[in-house]
Amino acid sequence: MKKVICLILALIMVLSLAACTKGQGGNDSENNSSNENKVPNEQGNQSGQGDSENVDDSKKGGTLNIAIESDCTGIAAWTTNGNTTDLICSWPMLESLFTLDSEGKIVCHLAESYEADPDALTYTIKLRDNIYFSDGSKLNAETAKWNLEFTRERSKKAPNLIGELESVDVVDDLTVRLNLSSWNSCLPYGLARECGFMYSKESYDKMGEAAFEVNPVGTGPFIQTSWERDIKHEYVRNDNYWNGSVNLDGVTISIYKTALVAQAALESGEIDVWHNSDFSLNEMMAEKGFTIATGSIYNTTPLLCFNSVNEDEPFSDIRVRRAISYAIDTQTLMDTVYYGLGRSGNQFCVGDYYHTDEVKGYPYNLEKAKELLAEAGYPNGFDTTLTALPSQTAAVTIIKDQLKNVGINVELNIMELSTYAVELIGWKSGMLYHPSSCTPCVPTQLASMFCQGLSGQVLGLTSMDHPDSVDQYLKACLAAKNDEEQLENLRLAQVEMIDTYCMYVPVGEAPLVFVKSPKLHDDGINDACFYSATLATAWKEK
Amino acid sequence: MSNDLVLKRNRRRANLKQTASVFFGRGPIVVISFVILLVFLFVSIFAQLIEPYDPLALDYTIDGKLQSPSAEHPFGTDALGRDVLSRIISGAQISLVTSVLSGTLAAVIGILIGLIAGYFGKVVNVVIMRLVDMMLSIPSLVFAMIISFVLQGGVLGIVVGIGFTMIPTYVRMVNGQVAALKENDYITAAEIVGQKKRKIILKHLFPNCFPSLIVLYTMNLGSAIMTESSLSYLGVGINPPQATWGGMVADGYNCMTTSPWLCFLPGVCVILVVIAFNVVGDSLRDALDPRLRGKL
Repeated sequence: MKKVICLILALIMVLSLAACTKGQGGNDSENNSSNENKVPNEQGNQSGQGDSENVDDSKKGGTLNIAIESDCTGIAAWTTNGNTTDLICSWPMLESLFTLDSEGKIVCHLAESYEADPDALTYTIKLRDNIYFSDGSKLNAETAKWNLEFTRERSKKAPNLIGELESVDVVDDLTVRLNLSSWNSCLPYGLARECGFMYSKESYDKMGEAAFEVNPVGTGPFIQTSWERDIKHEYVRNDNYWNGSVNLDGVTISIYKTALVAQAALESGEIDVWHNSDFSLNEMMAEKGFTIATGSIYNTTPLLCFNSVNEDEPFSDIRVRRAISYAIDTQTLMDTVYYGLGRSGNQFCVGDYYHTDEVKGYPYNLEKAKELLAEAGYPNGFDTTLTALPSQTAAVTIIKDQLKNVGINVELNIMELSTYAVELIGWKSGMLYHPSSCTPCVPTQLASMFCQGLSGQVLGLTSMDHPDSVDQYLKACLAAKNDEEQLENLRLAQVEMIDTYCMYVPVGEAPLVFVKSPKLHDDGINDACFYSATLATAWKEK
Repeated sequence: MSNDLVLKRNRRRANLKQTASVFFGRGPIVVISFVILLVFLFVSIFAQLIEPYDPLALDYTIDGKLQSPSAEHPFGTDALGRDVLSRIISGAQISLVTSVLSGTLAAVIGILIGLIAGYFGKVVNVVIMRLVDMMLSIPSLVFAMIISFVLQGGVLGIVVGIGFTMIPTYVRMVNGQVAALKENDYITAAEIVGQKKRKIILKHLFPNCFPSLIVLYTMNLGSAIMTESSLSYLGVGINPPQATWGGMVADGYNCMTTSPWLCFLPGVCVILVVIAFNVVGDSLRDALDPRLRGKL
């Protein structure tokens, strides 16, 4: 009798184990059947909760210490500027509806799938069913609608990134429909960063706006416990993270204003990741075994812009603008300033997807430059000014040196940020060197800078010509109903901006650099770009 | 030549000898400081002739950038391949020009205001001295930075900015000296015989303040170099690519672990010249004022 009972118990155990295994496999196969809903993490689980037992214990524990140069402006929807430090401070606790893959294409994150209908001017977004905020409330269509409408009203970046969003309808418990005033094929890109962050409405209502502003609640793998402005942010693990268990106990983001101090802290093991803006140190750090993460999609696209509006300026003559373009050796400039990490370019673009080979550009050619200057009536060059930020001193010094070769005498005008911010909109004479950032969705970036009728903090708003054809192609690019149409219009706009009008000199593209400890793994920091990181799967060698 | 003139000349020579012996007799530090200042003056004045390379010439090649000190480039090269020694020499010129001009500006304005405040006294003195107190209540670097920023930097901005911060030192000193001097009998006598106030101030009072003013001027040159370097370090000073010692320290700061000479060498120059000006100024004061004689 005892043997029979033992046999039955053993059979039950085997069956239970089999059932459990099948259950997990079922979830996987279910998720895999969908095209865009895979959110893999290090443990390989898709839905996550309850799998912590399978995680390698050696990866558990520890605090990830990240160093940044200055504190973020804000992390709430209405305070964030979407700059680098804002997004870094959002990594641990805020997640967006979409994210970017290594090629810079949109993939779903909190969204399970989406459908675009250009004719009806709608995007229909289906949310995942298993998303919970760190306060325990669920992300459903109502919360998503509240977030999107709130962001549209209050976010500083909303006019640029999701300006066409008119209203949001709840279709069912997990589906929202975004109604646009005009078609924007790049809208999902806007929802892959701060405009797509999902905040807990429950916590917002409970805490009130003032408290929520400094301590927002999101769906991320960590929860912010303290924020001492200009000192540090501290986060602890969110044990109920929807996308599986989290390895690290916590994350600390500290402000290290001096590169030397941050470098020493990284070498001593005090910090694990350093957002380094001093390119001269990267080579040495790489030699010491640290990882230099530049991301596959670069972020900065420096531009040399001309005052082409002022009739008294030599730059109102396109031959002068072309001559200057020919006189600048962009390859040398990028190699020198970014210590081999930058790429020279002939158009305003990041990554390969939006790059067009049809732009001829102005390859370095001093003879051609001199010829054009002589044709324009400046055979011996002229005197002019070049305005730039202090951080760009090296770049503008090189430009000054190179333009000397064609007789153009440049006086550098290095300005502090506050003065530069005003000058950026409309410098009265000469040139301006601007290290513009560029989103992976190049059409959105270009349209927000070079279309007609823009207002606010726009580069060269009153100093640069904004030709009709450029405006027309950029708007058509945003309103494109399919990828081919979008790329074709972007191609036409790029050719107009560079070859036809020579509106600016696109110097190239440069990365944001994160120097990482070799002991840190699976963090996803700057793997593709800096918008998000996979801190849930990150782990540190003991 | 009359005997009187010969006697006068001999007396002057003897005085000069005595002053020089007191000045240099304070110890070897004074001699070293004096030599440093002579070298600084020589290098600044003949900068263009002795610079081994063009301080603005770039060399972008990998071999050209961040070279260690060598026979070709004794102080190495910076991140843009510029010769550091040539830039230090060029920076010396900027330091001398800004310090002398700002010192002179401050001296002219400060002495004039100080003479008026000290001679006229009463309400004039109170108003001027309270204004001076207000100026002194603002940290000199911040004050210079604001003025320089308003004037959009450059040599003019720096000269005016630094000059204004040093005016109160002259006003206070001259005011104090004149307040004491005007009680002397020869001033009363000049007033009685009906000499004009302008003449009394410029002919009798100003020359008697001169020894102290020379000392103050010398010491202020050191302060001016320090302030100019600080402003350039903070990025409010002379616009690049013009070399300045403070700017060079700022540029080289982040390379301290890889190329320490970039910030170390211009930093040492600032320290040496400022100390030399202070030591020489201090010794001058001792030489011109017998009550304060001592040894360094």
